[in-house]
Amino acid sequence: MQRPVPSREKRKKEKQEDKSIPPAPAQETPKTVLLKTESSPVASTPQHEIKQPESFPPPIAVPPSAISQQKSESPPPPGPPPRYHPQVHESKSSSVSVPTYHPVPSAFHGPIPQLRHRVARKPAFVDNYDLPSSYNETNLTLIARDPHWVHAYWEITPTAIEEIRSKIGSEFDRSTITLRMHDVTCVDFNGHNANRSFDIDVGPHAHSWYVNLWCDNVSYCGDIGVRSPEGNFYVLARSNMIETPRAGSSGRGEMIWMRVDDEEAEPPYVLVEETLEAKKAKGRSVKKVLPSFESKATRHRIYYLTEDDIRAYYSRLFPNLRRVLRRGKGSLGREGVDLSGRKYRIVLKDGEVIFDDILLKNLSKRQFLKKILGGASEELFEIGELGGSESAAKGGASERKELAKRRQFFFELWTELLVYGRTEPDAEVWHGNKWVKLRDDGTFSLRFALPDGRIPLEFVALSKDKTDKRSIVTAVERQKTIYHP
Amino acid sequence: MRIALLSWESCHSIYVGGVAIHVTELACALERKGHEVHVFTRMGRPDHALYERIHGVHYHRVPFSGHPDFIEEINNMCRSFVNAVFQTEDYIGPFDVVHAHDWLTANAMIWIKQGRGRRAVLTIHSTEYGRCGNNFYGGGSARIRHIEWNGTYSADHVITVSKSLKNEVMWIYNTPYDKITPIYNGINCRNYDGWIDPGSVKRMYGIGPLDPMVLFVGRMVFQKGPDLLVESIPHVLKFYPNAKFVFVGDGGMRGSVEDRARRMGISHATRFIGQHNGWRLTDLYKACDCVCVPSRNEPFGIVILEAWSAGKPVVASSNGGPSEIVWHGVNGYKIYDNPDSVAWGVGTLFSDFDHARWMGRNGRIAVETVFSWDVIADEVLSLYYS
Repeated sequence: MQRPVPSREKRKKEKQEDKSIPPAPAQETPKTVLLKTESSPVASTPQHEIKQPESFPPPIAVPPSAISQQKSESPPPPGPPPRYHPQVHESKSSSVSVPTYHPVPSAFHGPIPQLRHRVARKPAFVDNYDLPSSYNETNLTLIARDPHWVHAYWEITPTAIEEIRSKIGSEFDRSTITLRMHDVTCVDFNGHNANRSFDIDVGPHAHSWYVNLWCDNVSYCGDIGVRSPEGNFYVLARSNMIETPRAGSSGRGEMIWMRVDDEEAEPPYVLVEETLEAKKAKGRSVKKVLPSFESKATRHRIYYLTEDDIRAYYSRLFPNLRRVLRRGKGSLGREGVDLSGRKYRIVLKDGEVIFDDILLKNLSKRQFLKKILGGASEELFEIGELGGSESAAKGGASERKELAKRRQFFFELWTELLVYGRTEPDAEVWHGNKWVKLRDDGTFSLRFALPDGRIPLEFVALSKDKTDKRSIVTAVERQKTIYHP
Repeated sequence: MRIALLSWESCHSIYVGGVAIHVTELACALERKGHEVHVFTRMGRPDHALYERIHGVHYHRVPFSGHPDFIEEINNMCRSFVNAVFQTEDYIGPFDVVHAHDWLTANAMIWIKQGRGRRAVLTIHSTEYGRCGNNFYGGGSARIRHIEWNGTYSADHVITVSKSLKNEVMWIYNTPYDKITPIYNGINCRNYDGWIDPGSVKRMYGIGPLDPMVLFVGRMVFQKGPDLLVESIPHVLKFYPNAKFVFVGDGGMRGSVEDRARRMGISHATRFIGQHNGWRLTDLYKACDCVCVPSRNEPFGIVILEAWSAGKPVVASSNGGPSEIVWHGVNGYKIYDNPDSVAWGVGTLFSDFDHARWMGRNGRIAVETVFSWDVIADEVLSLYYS
């Protein structure tokens, strides 16, 4: 099949001629190895031959096995191995992405011809297009060149000029084409909220400009337009947003770890406004205040919130308190009644309170009921305990005395542990890894605090000549102390 | 349950800021629930006892050696804390929970966990990024950030004082979502009980008895935004010429803010009275008409709770904690951190004093209901048990 050979394929043929250049001898520099050689093992995949276009010089009909045999006979590629993949090299220079392998017999069997100097050819890349001088489109583009320089290029069509001229009339003649740069770092730019802006009079003939910036790591957006001496600025086009890189390393030097989970962060607290109708539909108590006279004083207050509304609203901030309030107030005062909340079941029987909730387990019954009935602050008030900062603010010690006077009755209980023993006066006694001091007569006694929990006691006595050793292991346990107010 | 609280400050050793009240009140509240609470804190005055039992809470005041470098000094303190905790454990038995507060004691918590494997909980009251006014500075600040990261990484659980702080910690330190629980701060609102004569308090500061009064309480630093309030004063004076602005607090920005007020010609409407605590501040809270919190970054904003306890509405910026706890139009106004918005909030509040008083009452209800230390101790306990 014959068809007109395009110029691209002509170049391909030239390439083929180049291929007749034999493998470089061993003393050649590695550069010459970059030329396509048949001895390069990577490119010589036999099945590539099948895809060969017919316009190429027909390759020799050699069965694949023969080729591999030939290859094994041929000397190993001299010099260092090719640094680049020859196939990639080939496909770069020809836009036909056909992997080529042409076993040229002369390269293997014929006499080795002299290495020719390559003729300077036209480069493979076609870059001799002329870009159109205009696209008939009013636009402005910014490109960050480096941390402190921005390149701006723009085009203003005659139509746009005419439009603006008809709009502002004679003011246009006194105006200049101006590039206005907005610093929009960390700003959701809407046209008016730039951190700062500055103008450059670029004149009617310029189509690009290099803009010098003061600082690095900033975002910029530009406007091209006309500015009148009165200060009016008519925008013709707005540019893209650019971000200049940092000029140095960041000030943050600490380790920053990658986040692995793709869980979204909880959004900050959002107040959902409830309309009056929705509130009514829910059946909540709404006391609408209909002002008899419209005054400034009532303008801000559309409807009344009761104290319970405010309590309920703020209890949402504390999950545990919300659970407490959800149980309801009145029903909890009754004893001996099974109360089932949604998740936390509470049973009051025989004067003992059994909760499922681990938190409320730690409150005694009276405290619990008070908490339910009166809210936390009232509980504080009734029991008569004072907080720490309060007494500190009011002068510490005197306040404490007052408190003790007010309390009248108190009851406290502590426990201590006394351990004592006896051994020979010149022996050594160890408690764990601690040395125990003996009295002159060989007795000793130790005093420990005895809190809730188990205290293991391990004593070892060692005779003076280190031969006799006795050890006693015991433990003391104090059960959990329960305080009933 | 035996709990160790580690804190560099408390009301019974050295009082610096909000952490002292937090630790002292939390310890008391946990003790009221029947737990054995040990607070490890710095040595305050030389006449302080090394060990004391105050309100049922065991206070261990730990001495340590100083150092010209602040962070090294804090590390010395942490080493002393570890030693004190171990000695106490040897004497009374192991702690169930070791609960550290802020980066200052984070290293002690880490070392205790490494040494004896105790359950470690860390409360973050603010991040170094926020304390620097939303900046990542280098030097010592970067070291502190590293300690904060290490604390959040090593702790078994992390508590933040608001959801926005939780998001901030997750953003800066890449802490997993499930590891952080926001538990809000509380207040003992009974400190603010009682009534006073506002006129007499205002007279002390040269303010007329019927002048509307705005109170700013906080350190005079960029983070807290006193400059925003000063910039907004002319807008407010335009409509309320007799309004007065009282600034309580001290800090690096005080001079420039005062100077700015003088340059704008509004210094007659401002009172800069420096740092105050105790009854003076309480009286100011009770005498003012609104409390303004124009912070640029606010982890929680205890000032808001203090204002509510005194029955005053707040005008608070919607950055961080205030945006979660203020109910707009019900117990305060939420604003943006720019002068115009501050002026809008203050002006709107002044336009209807009936409504402002109603908002103040609502704030007091909110504080009484949920922002009490018993409720917070419940939350913390449920976290210990989880």
